Amino acid sequence: MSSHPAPAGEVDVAVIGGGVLGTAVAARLSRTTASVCLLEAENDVCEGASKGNAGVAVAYYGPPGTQETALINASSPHWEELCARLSVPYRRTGAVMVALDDDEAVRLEHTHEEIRACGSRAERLTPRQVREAEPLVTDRCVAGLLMPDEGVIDPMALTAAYASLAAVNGAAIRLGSPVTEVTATADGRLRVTTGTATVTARFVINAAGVSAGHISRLAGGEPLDYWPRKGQYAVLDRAFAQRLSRIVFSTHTAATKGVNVVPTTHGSALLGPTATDHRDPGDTSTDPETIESVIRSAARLVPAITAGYVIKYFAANRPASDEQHRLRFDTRVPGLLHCTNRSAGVSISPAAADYVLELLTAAGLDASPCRGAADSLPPAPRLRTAADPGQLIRHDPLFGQVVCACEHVSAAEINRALQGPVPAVSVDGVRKRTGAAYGRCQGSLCMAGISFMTAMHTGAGPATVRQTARGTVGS
Amino acid sequence: MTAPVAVVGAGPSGLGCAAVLAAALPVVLIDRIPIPGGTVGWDNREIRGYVTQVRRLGTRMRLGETALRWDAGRLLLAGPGGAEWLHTVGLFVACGLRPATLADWRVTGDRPAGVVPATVAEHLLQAGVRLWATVVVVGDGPWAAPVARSARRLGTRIIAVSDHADWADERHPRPKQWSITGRDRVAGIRLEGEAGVTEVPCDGVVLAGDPAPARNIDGAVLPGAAGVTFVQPLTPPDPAGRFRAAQDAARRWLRTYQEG
Repeated sequence: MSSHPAPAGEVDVAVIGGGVLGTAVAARLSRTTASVCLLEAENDVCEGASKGNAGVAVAYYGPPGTQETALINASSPHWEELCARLSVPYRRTGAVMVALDDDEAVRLEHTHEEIRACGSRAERLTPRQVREAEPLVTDRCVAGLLMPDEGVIDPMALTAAYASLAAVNGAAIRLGSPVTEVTATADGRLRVTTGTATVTARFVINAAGVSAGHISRLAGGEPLDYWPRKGQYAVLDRAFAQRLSRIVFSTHTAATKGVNVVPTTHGSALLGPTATDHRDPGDTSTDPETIESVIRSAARLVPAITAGYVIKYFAANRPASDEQHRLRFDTRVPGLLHCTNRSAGVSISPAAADYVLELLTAAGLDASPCRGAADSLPPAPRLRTAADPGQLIRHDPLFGQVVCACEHVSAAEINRALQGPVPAVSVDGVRKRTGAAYGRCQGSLCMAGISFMTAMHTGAGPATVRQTARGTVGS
Repeated sequence: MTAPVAVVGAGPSGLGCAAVLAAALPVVLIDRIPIPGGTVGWDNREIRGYVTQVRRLGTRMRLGETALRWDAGRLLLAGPGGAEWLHTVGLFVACGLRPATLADWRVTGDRPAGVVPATVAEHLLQAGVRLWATVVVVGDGPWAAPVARSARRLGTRIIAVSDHADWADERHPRPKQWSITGRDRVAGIRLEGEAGVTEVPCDGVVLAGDPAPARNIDGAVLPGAAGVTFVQPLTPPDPAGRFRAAQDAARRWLRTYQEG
């Protein structure tokens, strides 16, 4: 617990936004003597871009010489250690980037130079070496790069873990709290009003993702232009994904990084994303033409991909902006610190949180390390990936009670998601934390059970239990 | 001692397999639900008879255990009592059918709350709660009519998307393509057919069509998995018909096994 809990409604730092950056910052601050409160508009953490991405913790994103690249470089070597501490699934699979014709081979060479300039590693591969590195890659491949430091992560588990660590260390996590007003007080603090409470803070972190422009406007800060960039994805069954060992990137163009094929930590594979700029942040719809194009583009890289393996489509909006990475104080409102990134939020999150703490300390925040603060979470074993399932079950028989038949998620794991420091409050919240109902039957066999377990833990009934963070099963 | 043959699923199909196989080999019959009968239910008269029959033949029931992985003749079972790799001479997958998913149907659009598989709707309606005012039931699977009946009993208006449902208040033919609309909760579905686009407002959608085999044992998912016999026929729908069809499948396998 934090050594000096602040009076209700008064904190040193208020973080707006429960995505991967907001929760990472809250977790980092929670390990200091500063008091922190996280405000999230939705009823759960990880409801925006952090839940809808390809799940890659990148070692390279480019261009060189930027703060973003510095933060990626500072984060990348530590994923194994961090994810072990937070019990978050992570695998450094490495990636191959594939060129399919001579034009792409030329661009690939540019990317190779840029990777080196960024301080990351890549190795030029012949087509044969590409197919040795990932045998599923097309034989039409003309050149490739091996990027050994790339890895896959569960971004939802990561965000939930950051939030849990913050909560364990005494940070207040206020969900369902959309910010309606930010005003300066006479003594130079910022008063943040939400639908449910008012919090006064010395510093406010604007980690609101695609809503960051709205928050800055409310606070009287710089006019920041953010708009949703929609990415559509298709999820492929394990029957395909079990054969995929590495991330397969398409060659970047000047305009886009293209559609990729990514093994997930759940054992499925993700195809995507696309990139379409629009103006409605609530629009996360998919359309048949785009989904077909995603599958087609992915199948050019990996011909074994067919529509028959697809178990789900989804879309999410990432925060596009004129300033692709914004981690700095507002120039108008003292104490307001913007913390957003276009696409690499997961990949910069550990170092970005450290950097936020540096900026705040330099601005006068008293935040020394808090003795006794937790920097790890209890292990979160999973039946599906356990080396010795019998041992887990001996420890807790509920690990042997399989609820999600496709993803082999046990009752013990679901209970843990419903009882944690930042518990799931919806069926979807359970899915985000455990992977239950994420498999090929999409909840046909397990969603009733998960609904009842969620209803029991949240005090709802069968009709009023939340299916998603926003909506109930019944009307 | 001969290794057993494993049958996963203790519904009419799994019981039919066991009824034939247990006369010749040791049989282990596994179900993740702690009672036999599958979706037919344990108290069905025919199911009770089949259970008595396979027990008499010495079938070993492992109920309340889940088959997780199939790997070169071994089957990993997990239950509250522990986990065990079972050495077998073969695996029968008789895990029944589940409704088509949105992806199976290539359905796009929004992903709001209020869209549920029929197998889930059945459970929720059994709790006696009126879930929706107007529900769209999509498809003609075995769940469609029962779900529609339970929902109507609770006062819900039923719209079918089906070519021949006679259990609905309103019916639309199966479209070429359809999508879902609604941000927080479902607000409607959009049907695109030869006659153009039809918007159907509703506050619930039940996926109740195009039954597909439930496949959830890693290594025993795709047709052609080595050592695996899938017994998940789409027809016949009745328990006795399924029991007999499974017996036939088991007899064919047994002939090959005994010859080989």
